[in-house]
Amino acid sequence: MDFLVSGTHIHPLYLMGIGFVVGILGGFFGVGGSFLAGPALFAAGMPMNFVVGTDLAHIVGKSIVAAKRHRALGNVDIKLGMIMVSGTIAGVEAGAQIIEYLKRRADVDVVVAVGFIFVLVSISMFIGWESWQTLKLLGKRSTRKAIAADAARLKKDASPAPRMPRYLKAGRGETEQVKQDTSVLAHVPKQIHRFRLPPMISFPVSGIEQISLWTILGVSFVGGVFSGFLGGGAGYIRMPALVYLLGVPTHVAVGTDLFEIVISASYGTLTHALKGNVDIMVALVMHTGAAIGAQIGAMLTQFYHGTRIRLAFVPLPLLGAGLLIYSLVTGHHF
Amino acid sequence: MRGLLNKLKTASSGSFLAELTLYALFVLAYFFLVLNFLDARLKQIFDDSKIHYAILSMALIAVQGVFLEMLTGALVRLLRRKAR
Repeated sequence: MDFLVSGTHIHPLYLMGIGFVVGILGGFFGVGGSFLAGPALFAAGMPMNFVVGTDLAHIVGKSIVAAKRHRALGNVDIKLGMIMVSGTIAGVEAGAQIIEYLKRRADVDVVVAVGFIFVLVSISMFIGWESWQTLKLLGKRSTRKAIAADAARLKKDASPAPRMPRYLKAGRGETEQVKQDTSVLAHVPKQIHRFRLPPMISFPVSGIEQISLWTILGVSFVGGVFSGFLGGGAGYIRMPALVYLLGVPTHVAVGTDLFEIVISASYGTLTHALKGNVDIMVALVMHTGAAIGAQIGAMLTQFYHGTRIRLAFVPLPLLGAGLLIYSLVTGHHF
Repeated sequence: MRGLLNKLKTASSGSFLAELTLYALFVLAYFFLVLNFLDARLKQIFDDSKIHYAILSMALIAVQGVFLEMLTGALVRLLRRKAR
């Protein structure tokens, strides 16, 4: 099918397929999926400035669905999301201006693609390392707990307590495990929370007692710059930042990130559309696949521990980086 | 992977498959009835006025997002009611 605005020829099923996959990823990881959708559109022959704007537009429609689902599951900190929006919008505008500058001065395709590859590989390596270390830490803790439990059971053998039915134990244990969130970098948010430049704000939904407004604005501004420069909602930056820098539990980070993406990506779509960087037809076709994928992804978060969600995220940015490297090196488009 | 499939099965496999089928039919109809006719009109607006194009783009994606969410939500509720 020919898309007249961007002047590209892409099969609609290819677009729907991309939409479906990034929809699942978006619902599950709380990211817009631009780390995959962007490279996939570029690989299909779309110019990079259109990739950035169009991806943002498709994310608006998809994130509305996923954020609503997460809100129903109690995973959205609306107060935190609303404050982050202002920092993100300023960042998106800065990123969009960098794109405009590159359109005039340099080869925008190569600069954005190389920047994208660097960010994707860095994020993947960092989250992989952190999740692996956390799983090792959890393994050690559970071994110590098991030894302590065995010792306690030996002591109580003379007068055993009434036993809880096995299915009840399993059910309760499973729920607790899903809601728990552990990170080997738990000390980092604590240190960041010590930065006490007023005004200080509390976020009970995210379990943050007090944090400086400027910390939140700084984190969201950086996410916004990536969003405006590389396209998408930049959830691959913001979601790890919420977890590792602000100390938000992974499930709440996923939902809050999606809520924030709805507003910031809307702004990004508008500003890029005004600059002629959006092919809305491509976004609409992609979104038809993404809408159902987002629902499946949101449903899946209920079954997985935060650390495992983060570990599962690791290969996805690498896949996007691989697609970009392939397109850059060979010059081939799908 | 097997664990994931089991969880999906227990969660809502029947309603999900039905939803997916209805969704596919809807998307097919929507694609041929609406999107095919929109492209040329949108290109004209894109060339004439970027402001109108930007506003229309936002409106289209937001309306489609909300509409698809309502549609899938209604489908799931309907299927659950019938299953009961």
